[in-house]
Amino acid sequence: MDTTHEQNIVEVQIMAAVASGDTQAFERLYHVYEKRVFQYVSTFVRDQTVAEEIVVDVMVAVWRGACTFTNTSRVSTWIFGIARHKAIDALRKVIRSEHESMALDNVAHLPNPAEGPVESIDRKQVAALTRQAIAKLSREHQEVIRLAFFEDLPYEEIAILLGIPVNTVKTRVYYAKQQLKQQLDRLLSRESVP
Amino acid sequence: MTEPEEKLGSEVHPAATLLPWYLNGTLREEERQEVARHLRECQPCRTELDELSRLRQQVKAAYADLPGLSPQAFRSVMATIRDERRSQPERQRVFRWERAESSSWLDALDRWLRPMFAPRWVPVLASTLIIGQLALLLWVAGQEPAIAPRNIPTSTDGVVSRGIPTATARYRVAFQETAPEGKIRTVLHDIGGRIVDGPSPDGFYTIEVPASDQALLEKQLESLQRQADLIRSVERLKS
Ligand SMILES: [Zn+2]
Repeated sequence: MDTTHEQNIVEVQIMAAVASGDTQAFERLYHVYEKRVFQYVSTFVRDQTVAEEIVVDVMVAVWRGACTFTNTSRVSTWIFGIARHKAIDALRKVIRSEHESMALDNVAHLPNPAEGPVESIDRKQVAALTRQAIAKLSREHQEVIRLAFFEDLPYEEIAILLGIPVNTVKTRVYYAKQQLKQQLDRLLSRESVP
Repeated sequence: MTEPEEKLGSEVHPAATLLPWYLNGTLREEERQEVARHLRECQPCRTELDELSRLRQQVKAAYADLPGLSPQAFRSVMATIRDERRSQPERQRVFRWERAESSSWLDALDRWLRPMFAPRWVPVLASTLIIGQLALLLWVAGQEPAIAPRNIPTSTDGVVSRGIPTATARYRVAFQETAPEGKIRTVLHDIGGRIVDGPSPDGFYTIEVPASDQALLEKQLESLQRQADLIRSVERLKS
């Protein structure tokens, strides 16, 4: 059994406590998920204030809906499912008002390219470049990269979450990774040339 | 989306598409071994694995550095749920079960969550059921053959759920309004049941039980029907 599976077993127990009205268990769950849900929502919604409002909404829904969680998917998939639905709802509203591409580059603290040539690229800079590269991907690709590489979800759970066939998940992640590599190579070659 | 996402080029090895999950350790054992075998023989896939591994680390670092939520968000959530806890006993609870028209289970989920309905006993009951279910899950995990059967998605009223891969039967049950939660819990415990759906607008729950043999299920149904003080209505659902 993988570690994320063991994690899920613990989370299922926390969910049971939350379902019984245990606010302390809920606080625990909240702190495990707040940042992850916030970042996930940010792959849909650019505006950080809106993203934060959505997370508040999601967390309240988690509290209210805990008793309907039936353990047919992982706790994380269930929570991200609620987040995804609310984020897409919000996104539809935003898209109606302004046609902009949804990216997370505004949350990234990127080094200013005008600061001069970069001699060596340290870990923080690589992280910043990676964020920049991720932000250049399509929203769909950003989402699967996050779910497979950061959240470590099994492909079956990603398929449930996105409502797409497992083969499409595999294919999408495959192409997303290729795109990410291309973007990174492009950015890195630009960074290393003074 | 211009990428041909539904199909891969013939030059892509099937094992290559599994590498992200080989790395995150969530492949089924049989699949994992298959990929490991392929990797021993395939240099391009080993290169792909190295690349993926590096990218994965970078993605993790990229996201880890991002800021989280403001403390205000936490206060706002907690204030809301404390308010609700206080007002819950008097709150008029309305549940509308809207049949999911969309194929998306998330839409159905959201429709289900939005007009959140919870009779007094449901949270306690649900937690009991989840613990029971966890025990069942662990039991199933212990019994799992080397090649795990795939969970087959089933669709109930538009809500797609993946069940534990074991034989089950389902009852459609409505409890008496006066039924005490302790008694309901005992009934569910006795039959090893868990609520998998509901309540419907007319108060019906779908309860799933492990189905060992037909004779036992018949007896179970009879015993449920006898408990008229707790159960308003019960019937076996055709699987
Ligand atoms: Zn290969």
